[in-house]
Amino acid sequence: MKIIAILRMAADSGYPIRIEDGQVRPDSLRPVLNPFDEAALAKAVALRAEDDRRTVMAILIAPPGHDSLLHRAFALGAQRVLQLSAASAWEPIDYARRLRPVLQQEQPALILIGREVLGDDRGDTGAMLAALLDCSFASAASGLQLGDDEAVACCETADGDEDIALTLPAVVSAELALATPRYVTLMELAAARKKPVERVADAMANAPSTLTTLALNPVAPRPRGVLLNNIAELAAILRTELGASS
Amino acid sequence: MNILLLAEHDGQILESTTCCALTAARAWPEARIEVLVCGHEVGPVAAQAARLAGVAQVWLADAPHLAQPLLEDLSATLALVAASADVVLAPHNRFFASALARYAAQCDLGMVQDVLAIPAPATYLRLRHAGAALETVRSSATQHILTVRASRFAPAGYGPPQPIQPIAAPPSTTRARRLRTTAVATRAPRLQDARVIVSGGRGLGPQFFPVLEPLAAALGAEIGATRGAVDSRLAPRNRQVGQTGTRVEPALYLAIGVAGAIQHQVGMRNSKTIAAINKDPQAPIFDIADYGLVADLFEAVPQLLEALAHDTTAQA
Repeated sequence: MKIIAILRMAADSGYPIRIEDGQVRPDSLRPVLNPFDEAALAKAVALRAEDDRRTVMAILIAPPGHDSLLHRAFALGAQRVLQLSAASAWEPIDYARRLRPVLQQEQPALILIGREVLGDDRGDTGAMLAALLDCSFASAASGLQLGDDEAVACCETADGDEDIALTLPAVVSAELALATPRYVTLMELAAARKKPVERVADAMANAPSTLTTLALNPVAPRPRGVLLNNIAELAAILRTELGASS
Repeated sequence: MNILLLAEHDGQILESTTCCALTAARAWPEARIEVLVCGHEVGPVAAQAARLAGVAQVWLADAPHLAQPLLEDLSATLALVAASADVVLAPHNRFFASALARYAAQCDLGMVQDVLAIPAPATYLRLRHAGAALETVRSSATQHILTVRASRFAPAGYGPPQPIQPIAAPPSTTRARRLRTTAVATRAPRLQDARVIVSGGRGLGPQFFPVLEPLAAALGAEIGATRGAVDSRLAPRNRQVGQTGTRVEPALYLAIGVAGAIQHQVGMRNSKTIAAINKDPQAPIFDIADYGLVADLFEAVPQLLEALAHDTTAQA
């Protein structure tokens, strides 16, 4: 049984992004594997540990280069790593369209993908992928059990959680809580560098996007406020604010 | 020009988010606006939607499996009536966002989520880069599919009732089924729509709810939490505010013992007023708080409650 984890890049949230003249300064972006996708891969690896007839493949969809992210995918436990390379700032539908032919060829029983790309929560790529592959989808899973022809996902909802049973093949999107990636040692990273990465070029490189950016501006920073002297001042301010907002 | 609006409701009444999304739909002038109500025994909700000012017609899909639909079922029902629409929109929540994403992909179209403003038809303002940037995008799609952040649009009013057209919902998918649902005991917190939020950090420890609940009650607030507090199992995950939780923008955000990590700030820095109590004067929360108080929260919160109660008595 083949399990595929989809990996995307995210900007390291520990570093502030700088925007100048309507563009993100590239040197302010520090690419890391999207943590939600890492949780998806970690779960795939854990599912293989339960049953060694399962295989785990990772597909990184990212611009050419970024070898360190591919090595990390091996070190986290993927048996095969494929890079689907194309240079673009993508909408979820662009990810889903590009992944479809690769996934149709690979025929996995289960596809795991992060619930969002950290810092750029532009929607459920997993839902779109499931639609394009005509299979079922469970969103924001924090637990997952896999059987021979069915998966049961524990999904976080707006008002609690729920268990959804999906007939395989299926797509499940991962919360951070789904699995914790294992700690990768330098030795493991060094070993991962020797493993062969499969590469597929983007078949849709020239497909036009239907979205055009007209403007990109940094959000104005909040001015630093005042420090209060005592509880009475805070109580007075809360009362005023509550009165003003009601 | 036809617009289809997917209604959010609780089974009995329309959520105000639906009225706000209707205002967003009016960015397309002169458009014919239809509303889709999906649910089970939701005739009264449809009747309410039919009285929304500017709505031309309501589609009513009423079936047992739509009481709590799977997203496959919601998007299939949407597809029944959306074909002739130029714009399909819904108030933003994760479930609607996933259902519309599924519908969009089935049409081989993209979508735009969590729209903050629609300055012109098919032109949208949205947040990017963890809320650090505002992007204006224009869509040239053949059908515009979007979710809108309800709190950024004023709710529409009511007018004379318009016709309600029942439709037969497609049968439920056979490839997914819901085995179990645990709703949190009472009504779930709706952090996204809350006017006041009291939020706590890991430092509250086991006293998380005992300390925050009376304060939230006094302020009419929902209770939020940092990721640290949620990871320490002090609060359920659906109360988490921040980059990986809910992003909120209440009129008043009161942070109690919240250090203010950048990942937390991303989720709350668009609040209108931010007040914070923290014993560490160097805590980053003070960089963005309008009002800060350096104090031990275990002493400050009871004193604050007393001051608020006293204040009420004085006013009364």
